[in-house]
Amino acid sequence: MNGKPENQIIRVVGVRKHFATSGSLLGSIFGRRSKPIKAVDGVDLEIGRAEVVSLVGESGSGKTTLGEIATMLLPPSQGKIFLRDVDITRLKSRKLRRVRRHFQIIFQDPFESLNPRMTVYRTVAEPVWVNEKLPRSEVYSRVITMLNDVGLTPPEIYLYRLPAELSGGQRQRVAIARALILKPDFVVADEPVSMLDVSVAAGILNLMLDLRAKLGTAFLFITHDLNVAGYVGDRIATMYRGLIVEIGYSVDVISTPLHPYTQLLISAIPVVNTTAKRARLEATIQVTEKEQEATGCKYQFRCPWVMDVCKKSEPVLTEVRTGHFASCFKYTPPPN
Amino acid sequence: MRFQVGESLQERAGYYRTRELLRRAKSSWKHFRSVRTAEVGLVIVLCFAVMAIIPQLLAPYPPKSIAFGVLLAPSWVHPFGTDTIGRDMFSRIIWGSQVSMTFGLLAAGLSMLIGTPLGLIAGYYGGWLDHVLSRFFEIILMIPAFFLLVMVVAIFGNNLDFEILIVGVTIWPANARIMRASVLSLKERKFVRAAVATGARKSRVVLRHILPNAIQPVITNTNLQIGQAILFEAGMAFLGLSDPNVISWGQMVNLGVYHLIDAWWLAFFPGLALTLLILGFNLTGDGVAAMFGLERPTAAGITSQEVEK
Amino acid sequence: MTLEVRDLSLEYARPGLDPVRALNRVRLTVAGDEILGLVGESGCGKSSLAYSILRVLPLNGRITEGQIIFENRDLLSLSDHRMRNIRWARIAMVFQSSMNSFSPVHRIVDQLAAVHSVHLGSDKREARRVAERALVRVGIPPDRVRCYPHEFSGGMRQRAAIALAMLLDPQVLIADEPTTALDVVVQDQILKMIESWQRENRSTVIFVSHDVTVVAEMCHRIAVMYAGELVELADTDLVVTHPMHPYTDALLKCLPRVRRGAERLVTLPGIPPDLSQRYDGCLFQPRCPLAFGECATTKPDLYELPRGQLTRCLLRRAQP
Repeated sequence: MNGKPENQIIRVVGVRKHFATSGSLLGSIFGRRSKPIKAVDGVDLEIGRAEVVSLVGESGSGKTTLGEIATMLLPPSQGKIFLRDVDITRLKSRKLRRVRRHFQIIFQDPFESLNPRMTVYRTVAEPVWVNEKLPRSEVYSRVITMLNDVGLTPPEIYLYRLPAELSGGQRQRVAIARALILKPDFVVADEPVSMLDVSVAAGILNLMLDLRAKLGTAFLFITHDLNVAGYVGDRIATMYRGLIVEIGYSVDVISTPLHPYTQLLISAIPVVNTTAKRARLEATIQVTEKEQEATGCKYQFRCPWVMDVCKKSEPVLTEVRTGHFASCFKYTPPPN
Repeated sequence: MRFQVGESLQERAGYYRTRELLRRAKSSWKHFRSVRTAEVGLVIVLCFAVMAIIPQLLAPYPPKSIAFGVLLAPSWVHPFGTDTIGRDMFSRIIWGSQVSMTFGLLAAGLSMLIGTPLGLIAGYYGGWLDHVLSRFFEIILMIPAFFLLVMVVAIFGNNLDFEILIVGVTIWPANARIMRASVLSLKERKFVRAAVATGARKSRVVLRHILPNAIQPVITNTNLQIGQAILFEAGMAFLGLSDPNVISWGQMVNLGVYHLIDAWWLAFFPGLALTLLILGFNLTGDGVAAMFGLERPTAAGITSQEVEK
Repeated sequence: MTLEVRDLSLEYARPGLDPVRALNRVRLTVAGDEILGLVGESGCGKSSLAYSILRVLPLNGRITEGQIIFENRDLLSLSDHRMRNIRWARIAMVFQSSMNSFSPVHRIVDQLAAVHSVHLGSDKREARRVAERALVRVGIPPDRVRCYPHEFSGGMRQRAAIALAMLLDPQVLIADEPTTALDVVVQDQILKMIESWQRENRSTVIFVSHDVTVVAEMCHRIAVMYAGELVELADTDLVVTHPMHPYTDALLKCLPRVRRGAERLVTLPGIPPDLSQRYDGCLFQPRCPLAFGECATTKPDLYELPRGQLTRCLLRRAQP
């Protein structure tokens, strides 16, 4: 999808993740197995070197789950994940641990993602301690360099602080330093700025872009905010109920969204310009449980263009324009 | 500002490190004091600790000497009076602190030593190991410590060390369960997953990340167990089951019970001492628990937003 | 003039530490039939201001000076009893994350009905009827009205919380970040709901948010707060097109916006000031890109500019 295969850092193939629900006691007595929750239901995705792909979706769309699977914090129920050419889903735990240095994750809550009893120095140094055997002075200088790179200057002030003694933005910078100190190929950023003030968030976003340029890291940037997605992402993928329904270059997806869900998301963004009123699309509320089981396209119950075929088969992601894919029967011929 | 040209980064970092440590110590102390009664507790405990360490210097008379008048009421010469065979109560109270303090600290310490690793294993590894261990905790919990103590004394005689061991070995399941619950809730915290994501081994994650954070409620509980253990010892002594060679407050209360009317001071002062010591530990424990709140964001500028929410 | 805040100052006490000055002589007037946006980042005091109006401050909050005039009475001087009559019936609030403010063991409709009968003394049947209607009005399907809170999604619970606030037809509705933690689609619906309610009832809405774009779209006037002070107040289109305070300008420039393209966001260095300390001069000065010498020593007042625009910046001092 994104140019030459040797450029691809991470490749997600056919990943599904089903969570078993506990179900009722009576149900299990009568042999009725509980219905699994299909958090991720068949996702293919490739990200190239130094590329930022923004993954947008509502809560419950499965985007966070996909991010955790991509870093093997959660094993997929089905599918494979290739880091360069290695299928990391098949690695045994010791090998997997050794490979982890190449892909990292940044979490949403800057306070929660740091050990409250570890100083900044120890938090940022830990990946180095775990993965390399270096003399103390070398570790020290790497941490200092990293703190400088993430904007925590002068670094000596921050070295021995605890997370509770830092602001939200500073904590997130520490989390970024920890994630990038070993120069991983790939980082999943799960809503890294949603809990920060807007002025602070802007700084973090710029920081991530700068570090991407400097280190050549690929990012999977998960967010519910299309504005942010458009700002950081080279490409945008929209996710709905466990599936990627549209993916393409940011410019294209924003200016000419193909899938009705993407169009809905874009129309819902408030506009600051007070002269032009935006066109707000109508949307119905949550999908009911019965509708969750229905066959056919998952979006049929909210779709303004729903046709008969949508109720029977599921569309797949197909290239509608160059580099711009959508899964919708409006663009692809229905299977016969 | 305060640095000379040429001072290395390392030196500057060292300076900041010391500054941070001092600031954190000051903040810990402030947190401790924020529970108003904690200081009182600390003073009490320290007083008794001093008594237990250097009783020879503090007690006006040898505690076993029977050279004084029998059943003398409290006076300037004998502030707590004398007992049925003429021993000075004040000195005996001071000497008695040794038994209570050591019993409390050692038994509770033993309980923490046993309970923490077991709870850690049960909580982190889960599965059948957790099941088996949890049942083990429950079995030990079922043992009535007091009656076990009585039995042991009946069979093996009065041995203080044995008693400490028995108490420690029967009260640890509480700590184990608390530790287990603490570990279970910590396992899913994001910083633990972040540590896993860096490729750390399980042992590292458990020892460096989970243990230091999970142990806080255990420490608080152990603090309470100190008082519990002291009471155990006193209760045993009260029933006449303690080592007669040792000076114990509980023993003194035992002797004094028969003279509540004519020589109230025999039971009153040891009872008061017990109450104060246990109270002291409990109050200090409140302060220590408040100190654990240090990990809530507190620094300048951040507090305002936390507080205003 | 419906609600007037006069020189309101608020402090939060902290055990063992200096108190935090959350509000510093805030002066604000809200008219009837308008939506006023209250914008600022965490720690600026906007939520504290909202809580003060409703007098639901936490225990360590102390109002040290000022008045809040509503219907010719100072709310701060009213007895608890009188304030209770006003609270919710005349001034109501949708709290941040109020999706979590429902009792988990009672049905949603019953909780609303209870509020109705407590305030208006209605009987069970009537209260239930009113509650059901209120819930349907905010878009909750009639067959789900009798659900328990955990059976609702976050968005629906937030709507229920809004229905609860609108239940007694208050004259003033304070919405404190009503759409944070909600998806953009649900957010849009809720904003539409608030807008139409305000239009129908010609009531006053104070919309508190850190999201300038939401506020800019919805509100007639915008008040910007920083470090416990009001730094700008004007009609929305003025604020958006000609912000007069550097902080407002920075806020507008640091938001990524799809329709604006990929120009690099402007960020503000530093962090907000520690409100337990006293400062000379402008509170924004340490981070202000336009600060000059006097800013550090002279505290700016709120200067009035043409067309009713107020701004707390020395750069606008002594304008005709």
